[in-house]
Amino acid sequence: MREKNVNRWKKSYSWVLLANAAYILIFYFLMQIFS
Amino acid sequence: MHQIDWIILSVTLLFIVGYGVYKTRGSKSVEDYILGGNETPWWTVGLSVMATQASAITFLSTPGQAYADGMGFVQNYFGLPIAMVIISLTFIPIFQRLRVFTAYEYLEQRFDVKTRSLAAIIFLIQRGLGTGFTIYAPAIIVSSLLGWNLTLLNIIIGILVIIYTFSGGTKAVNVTQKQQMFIIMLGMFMAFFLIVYYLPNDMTITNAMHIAGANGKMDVVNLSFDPEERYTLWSGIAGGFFLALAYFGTDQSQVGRYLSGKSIRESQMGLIMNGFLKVPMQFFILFTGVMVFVFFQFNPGPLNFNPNSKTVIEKSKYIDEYHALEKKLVVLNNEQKEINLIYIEHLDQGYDNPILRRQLVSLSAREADLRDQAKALIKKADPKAEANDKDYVFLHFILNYLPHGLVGLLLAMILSAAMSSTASGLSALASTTAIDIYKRNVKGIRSEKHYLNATKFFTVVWGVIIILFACFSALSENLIQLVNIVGSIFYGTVLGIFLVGFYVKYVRAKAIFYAACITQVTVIAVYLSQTVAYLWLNFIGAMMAILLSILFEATVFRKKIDEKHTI
Repeated sequence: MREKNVNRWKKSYSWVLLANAAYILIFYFLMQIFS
Repeated sequence: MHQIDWIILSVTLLFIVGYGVYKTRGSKSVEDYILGGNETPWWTVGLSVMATQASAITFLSTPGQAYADGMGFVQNYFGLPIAMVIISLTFIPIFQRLRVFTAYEYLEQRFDVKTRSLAAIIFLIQRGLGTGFTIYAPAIIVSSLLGWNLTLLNIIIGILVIIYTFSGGTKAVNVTQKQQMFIIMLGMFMAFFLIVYYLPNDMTITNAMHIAGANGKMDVVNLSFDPEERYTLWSGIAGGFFLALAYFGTDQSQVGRYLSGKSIRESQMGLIMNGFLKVPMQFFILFTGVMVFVFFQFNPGPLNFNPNSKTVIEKSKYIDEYHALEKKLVVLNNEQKEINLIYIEHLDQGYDNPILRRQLVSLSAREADLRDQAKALIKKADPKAEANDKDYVFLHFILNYLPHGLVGLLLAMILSAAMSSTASGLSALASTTAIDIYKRNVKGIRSEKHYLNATKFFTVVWGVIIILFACFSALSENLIQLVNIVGSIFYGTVLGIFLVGFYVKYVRAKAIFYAACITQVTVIAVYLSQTVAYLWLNFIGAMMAILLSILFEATVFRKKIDEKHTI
């Protein structure tokens, strides 16, 4: 049970980093389109 | 200001203060008062962390920053999510497991009382100045544009914050920050939609972004490796990470927010929520500033947005030269408006006309040149005058173009943001003074009630100090720079102490204490020698504290222990 919780947390930490990587990519494409 | 604006402003602020006092009255213990009884759910922790960081100056300066320099500033926040993950994995479990009231308590358990006191005192100096600034900075802008009395405004903001922070402590800070964040986001969204609505007929957001892009305002990501470039992807990830780690991991005004979480998990989720939302939130605030820029491509703006500059010029012999520049700006703005309208027509036909883009860039450069000439005149008229007007752009727009009622709401938004950051700072200053200085040094056994009253007493004392600092600041010149310098001088050393505590188990109390003292003196000497830009002092402080402590542990203090063993 404890291990399951830890794994779930590791996953959610990955998601926050992935989400921010996605933000940067979106910003980059916006820049390419409009600049 | 219209009567309806006064009513909305007063009712909003008084409701927040009244609600905060009512909902959190009657704290019975220090744990209730400082840690909010450890009952805070994750989303309140998250909102509270965000509201603490987002001070009024965020909502005044950031749109102005985008208006002048574009979206690149958002890169500063790219390192923040990584810091959130590291703090969630390392700092929070340690703080929560040791059941500490303040971050500095951990340092006594890991090292000794000297190190704890050193870090606490450094924090009190730095945060005391910083919290005074969170009142003063928006007050100077609001009072300049509205003609209000600056000292009175400082005192009113300060007293409102003292009332609810004194009454309910951390719980009151958390409860009111929920309302404040609601007002802040509501205000920002309404301002954004009205700016877009005020753009010329049939102009889409896409076209507005093309105009912004043609003027270099949509350069969000800079991949350059040039160290002289102020905002790049790399400096944002590395520098942003370092700053966020120091601020969220060691500054009690933030640590106090997530220590009030119901459990380790709730505190972690609060920080992760910040990691998810911070970058888009900053992007949105900057984007609002870019839309203000597009708005002023079609509407006349003043030559300098700071009304004090105009007063300085009007009293000087340069008034005629200034008027001549103003006339040139009007002609230039008309030209810009015409070309922008033709450019939009071409865009609607699916053609991004490169000739018109080049013309827009050239006009933009001429406008910047006129504004620089105006700043030079202001400086000639009064060398002490603040000619930089970025911070005034957004509020100028709010006061001159938004309808009655919304002006009151937006002013409530700015003052709410000032109050939310000030309350967190005040609560942190009081709890650090009560727990790390007073409780640690008071002799004899005292009751829970005694320490609760002491914390409340320190809340009022710090409240008064902060108000005095905010009022006194009016006499100081480069205050923003002064506070940033003070922060940079001290942050690095404290972060270094915590990083050694968490990650370098080998280093013990004496080594880190002397390393921290030497580091602090060296950082001050480096600052006085003016050999590096002050922002680097954070990095130098942290690295020096870490390396020196390892060196001391391996040499000076290692020897002494070995000698003892030999004897």
